[in-house]
This record gives sequence, structure tokens and C-alpha cells, in this order.
Amino acid sequence: MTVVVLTEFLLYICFAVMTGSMIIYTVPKGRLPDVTVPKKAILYSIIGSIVLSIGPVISTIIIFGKDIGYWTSFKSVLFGFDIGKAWIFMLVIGLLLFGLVYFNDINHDPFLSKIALLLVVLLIGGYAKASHAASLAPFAGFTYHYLHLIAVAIWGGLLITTAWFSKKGSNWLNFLKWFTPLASICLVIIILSGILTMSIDIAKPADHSVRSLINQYDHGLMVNYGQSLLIKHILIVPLVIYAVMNAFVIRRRLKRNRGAHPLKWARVETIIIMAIFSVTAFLGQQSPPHDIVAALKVDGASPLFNALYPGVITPETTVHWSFNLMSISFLILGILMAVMTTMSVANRFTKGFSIFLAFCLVLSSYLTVMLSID
Amino acid sequence: MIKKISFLFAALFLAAAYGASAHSSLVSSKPAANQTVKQGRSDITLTFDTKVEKVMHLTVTNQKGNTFKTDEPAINKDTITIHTTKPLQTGDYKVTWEIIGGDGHEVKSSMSFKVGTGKTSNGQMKQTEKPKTQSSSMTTTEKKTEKDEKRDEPVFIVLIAGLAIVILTALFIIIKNKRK
Repeated sequence: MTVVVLTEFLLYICFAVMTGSMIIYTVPKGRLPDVTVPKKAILYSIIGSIVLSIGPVISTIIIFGKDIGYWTSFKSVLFGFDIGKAWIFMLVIGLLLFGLVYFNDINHDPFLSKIALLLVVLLIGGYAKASHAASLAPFAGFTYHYLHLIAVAIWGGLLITTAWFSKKGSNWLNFLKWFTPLASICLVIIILSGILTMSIDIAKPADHSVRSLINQYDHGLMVNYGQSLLIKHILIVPLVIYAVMNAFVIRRRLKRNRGAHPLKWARVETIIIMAIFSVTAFLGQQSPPHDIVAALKVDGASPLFNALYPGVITPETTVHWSFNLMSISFLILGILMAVMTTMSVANRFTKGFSIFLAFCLVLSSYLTVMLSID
Repeated sequence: MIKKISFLFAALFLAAAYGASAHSSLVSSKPAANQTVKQGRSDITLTFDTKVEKVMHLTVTNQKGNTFKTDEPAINKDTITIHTTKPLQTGDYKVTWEIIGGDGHEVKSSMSFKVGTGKTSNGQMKQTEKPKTQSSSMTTTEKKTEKDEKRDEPVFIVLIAGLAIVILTALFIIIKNKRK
């Protein structure tokens, strides 16, 4: 399972690099920083997207193959199952994309680079089709998850490629002019589609009320899925802090020509994005808490929850909330950490110390929530 | 370099195969879980929250552990239907399944029901679970005193102190920068 977490994480990076570099290719050079994504990096990210997304297919073939033989299982899963068909779709699109990038100089071809971008969008669609949300609600689940993935790929992908493949970050101001509004739209889409995907992923079977969703969320905290979901959501706080600082403080500095380091802080922001990617990769391998009682019986409680919950956890345990001195202390520390993380950008802290402050922010917020459970 | 990366991909490709967790779960069934039904019944229907791709194993056993012969399970989207060869007689039954859901994840679980002589009952699932929650709420009240002690653990105090030092350090750097 640890390996699948790693392959999924790398898959998200591949999606991001692919999307980011294709958008860069379609945008006129005057609006970009001094970014050049090596062709090799793009080709590897395409191969990565194809190869790394086959994990669930192979796993099903192996489970199934024990009974009916691996060859029959291989054919049946690949051509009969939804996940198999989705992967074949990704393979076909991926190969077309690979050919397009390999045989052409798409960096200097505005038409072909748009075709390539379209193929990337289709490729990610194949991945969304094989997701858990899509298996639960074929149309809504697929649509929400797809929107979520695309918005992440656009924002995260552009930021990762420009932050790590630029040399000096010259012309950054012109880049921010269109990137900031685009990223803001993406953030709104990510939050809305994320909530909608979650409402399907953790829903109690046959009950889709908001009340039930909230109940599923806080009771889900008892298992690994809910724990990683909470950590993912907390990580959005430092992400938004860095995003806002990058959009406004860095821009103001660049305008006044006061030694801004746009690349440095863009890279810090991508580190938070990658942290979210890794938590999501872990999350995807956990059983969603549709039925908490059954989940607790089968998989047991999350070790993190177990360590922080004072009582003994039984399948019938319910989660109650109440603030206490300890959780309020962590809340205050969390707010101060948020202030310090914000100040760290304006006060030219080192990257390491700034990320450490963001980490402390996440830790304090997490403990605020966990210690409020009665 | 290319060889190394290709090798890495190949290794990950194979390794990615291991790892599955329960995803599709039972929404409803006929007979319902813990329900008592009339004897002579032979059909069992299981409905899941996702499409069912394949039934790996599905067995019907009684309290003695005897397995009953059934026909091939029939899948219709999210529903599995089976018939036991002989009608079920009075007793406790357990249906155990291993299926592959729409997202390709393997799920193993089970469900129990009773076959009675004449009387039938429904919604017993809630009835049987209620006493359990009552007893557990009793145990949680007992645990409360223990909890408060655990929460006062020095670990959190040390952590709060540590985080406070981090904030002071950050403040110190900010003030120093301002003076420059």
C-alpha cells in the first residue's frame, strides 16, 4: 500500500507537469517568466501518467486471477471492467500525446500545443472515470471529481512548472497579471468541487443530507480516511496564505523593484501543494467511511485518532465536540502561527523556517480539532 | 539515466499492483440484516452502493457452519441475486461475499439473517443495535474521568511551550529585520 501511495503521488506530479507545460506552450512568451520545460521532462511525465495509473487495474487482475487464471482475468478486467476501459482510454490518449510531443517542436507551434493541451485534459478525464466517486455516482461523481482534478492541474501544474523550471523569475510581474485571476478561479472551483466530491465519497449509503454529511465527516475522523481528509483540509490554510502573499506582497515588491524573490516563494507554495498531493495519495488508498460502524470493525480505528482519543474506541463510539483549555491553547497558537507564516514572506525568512512555521500552523490546527473531541 | 528511470517505472508499475481496500458497501438486502423471515425462502438479494463488477465468492452458511449450495450469482448493476438449491429451513444464516466493486477494489464482508417458523420481523437491525449503544454510552461516561487525566499529559504542555518558543523566535527575527 505504501508503494501505491508513492505511485499516486508521482502520478499527480506527472499530471501537474504535463498540464503546466502544455499551458506554458500555448501562452505567448511575453506573458511568461524565463521558463523552459525540457522536452524530456514532459515525455517522462506522459509515460508516468500512463504507467502509474495502471496500479488499480493490476491489483484487480491479480485478485481476480487467483481464481480464474491470470490471462482470463487480464482480458476480463482490461476490457470488461470500468477501471480497465478507463485505463485503455488513458493509454490511447497518452500514446497520441507522446507522439505529438516527441515528433514535433510543439514549443513553437501554437496550434499543436493547443491540441496537446486538449489531449492532457482528456487523459485526466480517464483517471476521473476510474475514481471512487465516479463508481458511486457515474455522472455527478465523475463531473465533480474531474473539475477538481482539472482545476488542481491548471493551478498546481502552472505553479510547479514555472517555479521549478524558471531560472531567475524575470518577467514574473507579467506572469502574475494573468496567473493570479486564473489561480483564484481555480481555487474556488477546487473548493466547491472538492466539497461535492467529498459529499459522494464519504456519504452514508442512501442518505445525502447535509446533516448526514457533517455527521459522516466528524465520525469519519475515527478512521484513517477521515484523519487524512482533515489534514488535507488544514493544509489549505498555509496554501492560501502563501498564495495570497505571492499574489499581492510579491507583486507590490516587484513593482517597487525591491529585491523580491518570486521564485523562492512560489517554490515554497509548491511544497505545500506537494504536501497536499501526498496526503491525497494516502487518502485515496483508505476505505471511505460510508458505514463507520462497519469500517471500525473491519479496519479498526486510525492510529492517530487512537493516540489522541482518551476513551476506548468501540464500533459504537460517537464523536462529540467541546472546547477545553488545551484545545483553546492550540487554537491561539494556531492563529499566531498563521500570522507568523504570513509575516515570514514579508520579512524574508529562510525557506526552511517559513515552511517550519507552516508545519507548526498545521500541527496546532490539527490538535485544536482533535483535542476538542469529547 | 533513461535506463534507470525506465527501471524505476517498471518497478513501480509492478509494485502498484499490491494494495486494495474495501470500497463498495452493502446498502440493503433481502432478507434485511438481522431480519427474521419465513421458512421455505430460497432467494437472497444484496444491493451495494456501487456497481458490482464481479462476484469472487458468495457463500450461505448456517450456525453449524454448513454451506448451502446455490446457483451462480446473478449481477444486475449494483445488485446480486442468488438462489439456494434447497429452500432454507429454520435457523441462523450468514451470507459471506467477496466482490470487486466498480472502482476495482475488492471487498469482503458478510450479513446475517434468521429463518423462523412463521412469524416475521423487520427493522430488527435498529432494535438489536440500540441496547449496544446504550451500554457503550455507559462505558464512555466511565471513561470520561480517565480521559481528562490523559489530556493533561505533559506532552501537550511541552508542545505548547515549544510552539510558543517558535513564535518568539519568529518575532525576534522580524524585530531584528526592522532595525536594520
